[in-house]
Amino acid sequence: MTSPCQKCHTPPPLPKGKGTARKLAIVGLPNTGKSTFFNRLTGLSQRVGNWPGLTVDLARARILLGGRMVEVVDLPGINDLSGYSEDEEVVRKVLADTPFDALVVVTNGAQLERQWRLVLQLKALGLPVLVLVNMADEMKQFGITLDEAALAQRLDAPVVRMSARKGDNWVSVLAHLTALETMADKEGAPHRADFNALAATGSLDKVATEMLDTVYRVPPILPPALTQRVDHYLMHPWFGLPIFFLMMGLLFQATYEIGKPLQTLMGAGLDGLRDYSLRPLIAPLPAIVQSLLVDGVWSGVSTVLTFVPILFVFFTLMALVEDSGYLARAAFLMDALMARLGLDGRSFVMHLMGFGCNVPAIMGTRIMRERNMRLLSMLTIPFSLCSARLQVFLFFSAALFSPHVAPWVLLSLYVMSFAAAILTAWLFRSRFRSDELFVMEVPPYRLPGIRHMTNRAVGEVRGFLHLASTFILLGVVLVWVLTHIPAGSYPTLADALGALMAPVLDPIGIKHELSVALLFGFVAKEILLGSMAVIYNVPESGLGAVVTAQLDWVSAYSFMLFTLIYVPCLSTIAAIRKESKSTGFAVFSTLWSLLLAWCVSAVFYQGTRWLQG
Amino acid sequence: MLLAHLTPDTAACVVQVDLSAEACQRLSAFGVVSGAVLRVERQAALGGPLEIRIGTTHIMLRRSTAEAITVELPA
Repeated sequence: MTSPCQKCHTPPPLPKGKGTARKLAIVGLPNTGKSTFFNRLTGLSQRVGNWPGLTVDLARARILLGGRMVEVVDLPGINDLSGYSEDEEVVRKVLADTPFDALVVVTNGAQLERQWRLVLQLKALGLPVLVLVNMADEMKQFGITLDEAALAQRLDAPVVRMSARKGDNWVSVLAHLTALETMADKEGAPHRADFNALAATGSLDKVATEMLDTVYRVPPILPPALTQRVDHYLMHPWFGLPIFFLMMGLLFQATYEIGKPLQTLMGAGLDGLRDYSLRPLIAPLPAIVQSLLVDGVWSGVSTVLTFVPILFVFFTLMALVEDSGYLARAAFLMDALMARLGLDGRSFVMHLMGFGCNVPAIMGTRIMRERNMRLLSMLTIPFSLCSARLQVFLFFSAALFSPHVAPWVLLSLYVMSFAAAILTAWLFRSRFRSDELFVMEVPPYRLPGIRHMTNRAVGEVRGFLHLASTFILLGVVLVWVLTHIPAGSYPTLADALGALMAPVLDPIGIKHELSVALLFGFVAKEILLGSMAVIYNVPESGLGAVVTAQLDWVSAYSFMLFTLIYVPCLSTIAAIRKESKSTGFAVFSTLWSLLLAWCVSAVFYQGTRWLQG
Repeated sequence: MLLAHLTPDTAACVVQVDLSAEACQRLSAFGVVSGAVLRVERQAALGGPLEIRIGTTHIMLRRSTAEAITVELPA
C-alpha cells in the first residue's frame, strides 16, 4: 500500500551544518516512559512511518527547539545495545547508519541500577548524550535519592530528573535539549555511532555499579507499595482470572455503551449528507456514474467512517489498560494456557480485543516483540466474533429460531469462534514456533494522563482512516462493478459469479443469490444485511420474513458458520498485511480462513442433512 | 536448588544460569545474573509463570526458564 504521507516516506536529506534540521534519537529500556516522553515533546506532530532501509515503523516528529527545527526519532525500547533481539538490531542499525546530533536516553529512576549499563553503552558511541531520569514521582514514593550533579560529573554528560507523565521539571528538560545543540557543535556531530568504541569497552556492569555508588541510593527495604497489595488480588492464582474476565467484559461494555450511540449518530449524519448534499450535487451526472458514487464509493466509505467513534473510544480505553501496566498481569494469568498453543498471555488479550473489532486487535499485536508469535496471533484473531458479525447473527437467530433457542445459537457461535482460533493456533504452532525467552517486566501500576490516552487514540484512528481511504475504497468499487455491470441487464457479473461458485456453495447449502452477499461481506460484514435486502429486493425491515421463507435452519446455520469463520473484512486483511509487512502472509491468512470456513460449514451441513435422512 | 522449586516469599541468591548466551544476555538485562539476590513473589496457577523481584524490578519468567536457573538459599 502506498502512503499519501509524503513526510514520512521521503527520507529527509541528511543535515549538513547550520540551517538544516538537527536529528535527535530517543533511546531507552522498555517501560521507562520513553513514548510518554516522546508524546509530550512532540504532541500530535508525530508520524509513524518506515525508516529508510528498515522494515519497522518508527515514530518521528519535527519540532521547534530553541528556534531551530529538530527531527526527533523514537527508537524501540531495548534492554542492551549488544543484544540479539529484533529491536536491539533495529536500534543498532539506525544508529550505525544515520548521523545523529545527539542521543536522549530515557531511564526509569526507580531502576537505575539495572539501566545504567545501557546509558554507558550509549555514551561509548561517541555522540553527545542527555540522560533523562524519568519517573521522579515513583523515586520519591520508593524513597530513592539521586545526586544528579555528581552523577552528571562522573558520566561527563548532563543528567536531568523528570516525570514525563506529570510534566515535572519540564522546563529544565527543554533547556537541556536546546543546550544539546552547543554540545553537538563542539563534538563535531552529526555523525554515525561508533560501535567499535563500544566493543572495546568490555563488561560495563561493574563500571555502572561503581558510578552509581553513593550518588544513587535505593532504600534496602521498600515501603509496601500499593501495587503489591493490588497485585495480591489481581494476580491471585484463582481469583485473578475471573477478575480479568470481568474487567474485559466491562471494557467491551464501555466501548459499546459509549461508542454505539456515537456510531448511530455519525451514520445518520452521513446519510443526511448523502441525501441533501451528495445526491443533488451529482444529479446532472449519468445514472451509472451516480450509482458508482453513491452505492459504491459513498456506501463503502461512509460505512467505514461510522466506525471512527467506536475505534476512538476503544483505543482510549486500551491506552488506559495498556499503560496502567495491567496487560502484563493479564499475560501472567493466561500464559499457562496459551503456552500450550504456542502463544503467550498477550495473544489471549488481543483475541478478546477482537470481540470488539478485529482491526485494532491486529494492530494491538504490536505489543509482542517476536515476529513468529505476532504472526500466529494475527492468524487467530480474525476468528474472534466481532460486533459486525454479531449484528448478522442476532438478525438470523431472531428470524429463524424461537426466542428460547436463539441465545443458545448465539452462544454456540462464540464457542465456534474460540474453537476455530484454538484449532488454528494448535495446527500452526510449530510452523510459527517462537523460541524467544518469555521474560516480561511486571511494571508498577501507573495512571496514564487523559491527554496521553486521547493522543494515542487519535493516532490510531488516523491510521485506520488511512487504511479506509485506500484499500476499502478499492474494494467497494470492485464489488459495485460486479453487481452493476453489465448495466441494467441480467445476469450481472455477480450473478454469473454465483453460478460459477455453485460447485463450492452447494455442498454447504448456501443459495447462489447469497454468494453476492458473501462477496459484500468480504468487504465488511456491516454491509451484509443491507446487500441481502438488495438481493431479495425488500427493505431491510422486511428481510426477516423473506429469509424465513427462503432458508431452513440448517442452511441458515451453515451460512452463519461460514460468515463467522471466513475473512472478517477487507480492513482486517489490510491490517494483517500492514502489520505483518507481508502480502503473502495476508493471502495465506485469507485462504486459510476460507478453507476452514468451507470445511466447517460442509461438515455441519452434510452431517445434519444425513442425520435428517 | 532450582529457581523453579523455590516457594513464594522466599529469597535466594542466583548461582548459575544454564541457558543459551542470548537468553543469558536478556536475563542479565533484567538483573538475573549470578550473585543477584532475588525473591519469588508469586506463581500463576496451572504451571504458569513465576513473578520474581530483583531489587525494585518485578519480572515474570516461565517455569521452564526457572528450571535452568540454579539458586541457593542464604545460610
